[in-house]
Amino acid sequence: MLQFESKIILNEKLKGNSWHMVIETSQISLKAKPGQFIMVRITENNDPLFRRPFSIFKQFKIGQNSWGLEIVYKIVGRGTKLMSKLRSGDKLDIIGPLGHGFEWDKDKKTHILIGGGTGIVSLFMLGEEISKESKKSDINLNIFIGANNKDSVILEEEFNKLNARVGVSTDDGSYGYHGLVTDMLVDTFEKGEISTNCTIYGSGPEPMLKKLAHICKKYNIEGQVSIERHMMCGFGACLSCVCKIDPLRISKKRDLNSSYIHIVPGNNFGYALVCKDGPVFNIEEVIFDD
Amino acid sequence: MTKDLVDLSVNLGKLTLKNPVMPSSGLFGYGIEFKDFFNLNELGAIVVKGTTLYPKAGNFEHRFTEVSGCASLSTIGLQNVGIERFVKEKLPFLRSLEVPIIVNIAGETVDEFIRLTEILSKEEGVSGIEINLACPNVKGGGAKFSEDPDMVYKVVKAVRDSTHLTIISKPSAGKIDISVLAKICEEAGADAICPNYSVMGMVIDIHTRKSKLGKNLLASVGGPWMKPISLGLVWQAAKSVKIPIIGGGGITCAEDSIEFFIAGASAIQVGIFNTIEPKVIIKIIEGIKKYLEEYQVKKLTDLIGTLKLI
Repeated sequence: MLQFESKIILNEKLKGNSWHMVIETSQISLKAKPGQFIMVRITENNDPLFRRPFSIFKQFKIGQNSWGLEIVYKIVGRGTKLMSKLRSGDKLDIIGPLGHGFEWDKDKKTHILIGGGTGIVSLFMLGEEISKESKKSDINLNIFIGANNKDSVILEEEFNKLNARVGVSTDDGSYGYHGLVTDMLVDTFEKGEISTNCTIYGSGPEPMLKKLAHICKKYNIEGQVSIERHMMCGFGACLSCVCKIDPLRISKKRDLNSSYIHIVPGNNFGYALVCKDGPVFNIEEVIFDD
Repeated sequence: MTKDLVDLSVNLGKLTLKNPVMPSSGLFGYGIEFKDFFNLNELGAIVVKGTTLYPKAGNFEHRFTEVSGCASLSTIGLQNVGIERFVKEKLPFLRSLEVPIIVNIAGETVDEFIRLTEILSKEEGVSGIEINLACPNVKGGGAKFSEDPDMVYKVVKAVRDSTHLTIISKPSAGKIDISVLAKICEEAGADAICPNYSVMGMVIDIHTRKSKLGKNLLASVGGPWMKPISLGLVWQAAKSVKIPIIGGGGITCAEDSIEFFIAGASAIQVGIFNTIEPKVIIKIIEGIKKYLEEYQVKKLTDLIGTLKLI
């Protein structure tokens, strides 16, 4: 975990309400792993007050010894609106890389990345990693991008550059598959176009992740999901960003001594910290409430 | 290293702090979360998370959101590992530091406060106990201990009779005037008083007509806006008692903290701002030094309670 004042290299409108920012921050960039995030202090004027969490989109080589981080964000409130007004040369205080990201298994042949809205951003680095491997093996990579409408489909061109099959869905049918991205996934399975002997990596709104949990259960598929929460600190001090988890389904890979998973004896649930134990969880670990 | 030109040390009961700045309980985890940001030994003291006799799950998911006006709505619900696991899992790291460790204790009954105090008093590496009087008194119908002067006296006296450690009493101002609460705490044997102020609020998503905090409806409203209120409480409390007052609530920088010393605080606690700028306490300590040097005040204790009335 590092903290640096970092220079903005680029801050441009990507499409519709989505923006793309490149920040020069070599040390944080070089440590970043797929699915991790950064906490950004947008202004020192304390309004907005708290840092905002952003998924890392990808690493960016600026020069010989200089690396940057790219993020893609949607303007949703005062913080992101103010952020969109920043220009190259402005500085941002950044803490990162933070959290437990995606892990993938090279022994598995089929990998599915599925993202809804800006959720797709946190899947890109994982896509890059699997894509590299798929070029020299029989691993296949499938990417499902979901959005409300044509104008809000983001990063399709970027994902198209990977060695992957890319599908896009829109809720209103204005582009690609007409319907929810999770419905597109099920259709693909039902048509036998992709094997259900696969691993799914999901990121997006919670109702979408909940649907994904049902799909994984139905087809007996291993899945990982990136959970979003409002965060006060981002590094485990405030205990704000909890996610309800099933104590009986905690991943065996987790080191419970260093984890922030909190289970009170007698309760049939526990609370994990999204900033430390997540944002990426095994899909079966998470209890999605109604 | 050059020797500091000013003396920042302060006494709280038997404790001498090398400087008057500490994190407030709850927003500093167990200290270890901040070790990557700065040397924890530079702190005046560490006040760790509110600790209960038994582990507490805490409140539902969606415990925090920011609202406009520099405020936070948060409702953690005292999630903590309980005293047994605190001693076993959290204390060893804290003990390895060269900083006084103060444990905030939250009981549901007087007996629980006594039990918590007895356990902590036996442990090496605990220098002080902070009594969280904002807890509901379960046997007294659930009203906060701070809302009943008799209960405040009973809890503080019971803790005093159970330990030789330094005791900080943290009453919530509101229903009872802080000067009354401060006097009761002093009479009951507290070594210092840290006036607390908390107010509950809510926030609604008009599109879904649901609370923005999920199943949590009411949450504590915090942030820098609290500073004038906290400062007023410190001034009132300091006038009423002889024991040291610890100020806190809304502090974001050294200038804020200096107002508290002038109003009568002997030490200060920083809460929410640790989550925004993890190095804020270090910046505050440096800022206090600079201020004292600039105004040629050799000892911080010479600044405390120096408010000019005209």
